[in-house]
Amino acid sequence: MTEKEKKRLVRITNIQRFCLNDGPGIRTTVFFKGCSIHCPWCSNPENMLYKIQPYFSDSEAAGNYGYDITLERLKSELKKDLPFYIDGGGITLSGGEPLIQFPEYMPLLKQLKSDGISIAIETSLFAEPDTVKTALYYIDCWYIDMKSLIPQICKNILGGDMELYLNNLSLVSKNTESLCLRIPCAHSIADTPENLDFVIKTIKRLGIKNIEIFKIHNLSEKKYKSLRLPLPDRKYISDDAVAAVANALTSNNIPFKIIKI
Amino acid sequence: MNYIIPFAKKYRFDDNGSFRFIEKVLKSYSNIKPVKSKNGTRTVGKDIKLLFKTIDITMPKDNRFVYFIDKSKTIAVPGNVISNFTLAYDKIIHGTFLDLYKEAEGTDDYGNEAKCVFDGINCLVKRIIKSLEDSEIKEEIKKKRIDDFSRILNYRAKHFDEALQRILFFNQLLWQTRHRLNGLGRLDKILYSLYLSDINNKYMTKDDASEMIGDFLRQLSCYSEYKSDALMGDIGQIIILGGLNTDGSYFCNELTFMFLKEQAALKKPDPKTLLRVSDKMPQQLLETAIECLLAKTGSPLFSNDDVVIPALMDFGISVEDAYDYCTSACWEPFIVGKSLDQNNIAVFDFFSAFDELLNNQTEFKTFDELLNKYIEYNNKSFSVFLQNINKIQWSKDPIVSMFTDSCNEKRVDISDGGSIYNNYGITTVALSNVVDSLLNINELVFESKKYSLNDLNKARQSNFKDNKNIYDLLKSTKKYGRDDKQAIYLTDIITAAISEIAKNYRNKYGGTVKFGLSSPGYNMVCKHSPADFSGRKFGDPYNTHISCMNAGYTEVVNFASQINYKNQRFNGNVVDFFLAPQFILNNKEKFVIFMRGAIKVGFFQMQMNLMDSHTLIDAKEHPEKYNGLIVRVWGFSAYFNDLPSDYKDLLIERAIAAEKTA
Repeated sequence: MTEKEKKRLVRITNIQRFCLNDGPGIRTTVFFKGCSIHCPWCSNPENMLYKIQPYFSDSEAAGNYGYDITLERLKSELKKDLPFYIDGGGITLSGGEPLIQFPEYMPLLKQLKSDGISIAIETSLFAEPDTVKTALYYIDCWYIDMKSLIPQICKNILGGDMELYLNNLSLVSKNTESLCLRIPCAHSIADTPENLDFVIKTIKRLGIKNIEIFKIHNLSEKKYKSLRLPLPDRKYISDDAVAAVANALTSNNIPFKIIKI
Repeated sequence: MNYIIPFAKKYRFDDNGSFRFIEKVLKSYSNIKPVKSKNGTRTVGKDIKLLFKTIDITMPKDNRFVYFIDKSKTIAVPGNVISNFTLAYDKIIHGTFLDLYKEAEGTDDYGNEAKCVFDGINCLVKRIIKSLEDSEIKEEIKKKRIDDFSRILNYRAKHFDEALQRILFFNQLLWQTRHRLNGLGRLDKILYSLYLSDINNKYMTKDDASEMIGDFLRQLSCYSEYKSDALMGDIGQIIILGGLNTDGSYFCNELTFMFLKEQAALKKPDPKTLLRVSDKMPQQLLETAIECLLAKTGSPLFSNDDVVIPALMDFGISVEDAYDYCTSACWEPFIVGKSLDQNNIAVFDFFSAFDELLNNQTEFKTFDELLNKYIEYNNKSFSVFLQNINKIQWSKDPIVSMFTDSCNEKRVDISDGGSIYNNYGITTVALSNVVDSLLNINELVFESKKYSLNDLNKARQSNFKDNKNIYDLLKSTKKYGRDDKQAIYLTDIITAAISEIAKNYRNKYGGTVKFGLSSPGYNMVCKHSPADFSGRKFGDPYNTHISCMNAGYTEVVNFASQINYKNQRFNGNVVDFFLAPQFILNNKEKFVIFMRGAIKVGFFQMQMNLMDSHTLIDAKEHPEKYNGLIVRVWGFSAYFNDLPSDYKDLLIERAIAAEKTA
């Protein structure tokens, strides 16, 4: 990194060490602030907006969600657990949508990559195709959400452009072996026959082998309250949705894992 | 009556307080009688001889090995009995007790005492053989044990089970003669040649060997209440496994795995195991050790040879001895067969000087002025503390002397400094509380200037009554145990100051003193200790060993690995973790990676409690449902139900904190 790049700022909410569920081995996960979509069941609502937001405990403002960190500082935080990044461990970029700030922190990834550190990403892929293309050079493991493949739902409920997503997914799947597709089983979104039909077709068309599905949890009521946001609608939470997605995959001979997030 | 105190010490920490302790002392006194020799001047050797002539012998019922303690008789000699050590069992397996006696015999006092011991043991052996002959034990086992005891003093052991029987016999002699916290040493190393020859000669199968180890451990787990020291379960029968060789390669063998497996199968808090780990160890052994942890006996404790051995050599221990280290009952490195080293003779409290300083003075121009003043007070407090430990008197110990290098040659009892290493070891508490206090003061008084030190101190002295804001603020910031340069700097500078004093200290044998940062005292010494600035209130426990309730596992390991353990600072430094068992079960492979990383980063020692808070809370409310629940307490494991309630509360609090950070 150049001296100028070292001082460059990115906006994050948290750096979490000893993460065991964000990719191979032991990882440090950095949560970038700002997202390109707004899933109503989001479990990290503090990462939806790029702007720094106050959080409230009881009636008082108790602090802020989000802070700016220099690339130099971020690097030293990410390297603290370096000796534990054995057997494929490393860092994971998460959020929010980590690809939004990608151009800003790319010099850091370049450096981490040359240090031999594995880089994973958890993304919804609603991002600039050029960014995705560049990211392919740096990212070793892709964890890509597949939330809904129905264009209207994607647009009206998530606020995303389906075409953009599918093009990006196609680009990534063609260029990397290390891709894991994660399906959040939101009721009335993921489990509709129409969506499942698209999901199966897309997985087959792109030849995606590694698939994980998980139940939507309402894990973050506290966070919504602290942000003074209305609580997310519980209608998306359902065991039946997981079963429906699992059945559809099974009957199409698509192997998958059910994970807990 | 003083001799009886060790037997009743475990009741001192009862919820009911000291009154019950005295009652227990009296009760123990009525149950245990001293055996006193009558011919001429009483000596330890003469008392031992009489004791072994008169103790009741108990034959095994459902175990292949003979092992008994007559709980009603012991010796009552003046002074403290050397304890918290391991006898050099290899000397009576690959050599004979007769050889040791021959080295010790002579017409001087030393030789006379050795003769008394030899005669006493010889007499006991004959009585045991007679009892075996008269017993109704299965013929096959009876024959073997009679053969073992016929050879036990005069011949080298020729079989694996014979060696196990021999260790049990000399171990019971130690317990019978008031020695406490008796370790067992590197059994995978000591026993391997006999194991191998018995397997090769088809004297036994591997399964037989496993069963023998099981029987051996089961016998050692008997008499647990009698053996317990400062708390129920504090027994100290530690078995050391694995370890680096002097050529840098890693030593382990089939017995290493077998002991871990049998430890797990035994499901008892004691005997316990310590695994010497290294970056060079095979991953398979680490995996077996983690399986053993999952049996929830608190074992094994991990001791990192890559860090411990250099610290021992830096202290002046020879290369050969450093690579062969064991530990005292918990974690304090100990050189078997060559040391008097009494490694846990007192607990030093880092906070008492801090309290004294703040009671005298709250005006400091800078943080450095405060820090320097604290170091000055603490150094003084440490020097006074060391003067007091010099007053300890040890009772003569002819048995242990015979087993200890250089005592026989010098004809000097171990209690008079006959051995090669003659150091003292102490444990310490509250460094974490002092470091966090200093950092909080720095932040609130000197950096943000939110409060004056006087205001903070008043809040502290009132035990934070009416100062909830200050209390919450102090409690929320914990830096000891994190990747925090300042916390590491303060830890090192404070310990460096007293390490210089420790280095220059000389006990009456010319030995020096070592200290470590983990101690059984964290929940004892604190009882009368005022509140501090780490958010600890009056009487609350100090921080447990090297731990941090707010930090994740890698962070605590990184902290522990950056601390300086050289220069006298190696007397046990244990990272203490709480982990939910489900967490490891779900992530076993990643936990192995974590351990490999942690060994490489360089923690000194590590122990773990695999327990979730839900279980502990339920066990406190419904003890009847949890008779077998074992937890790690300080360097030992105990049944949860046997613990006083303040220990239970602390374990619950730590389990909850761990679940938040995981």
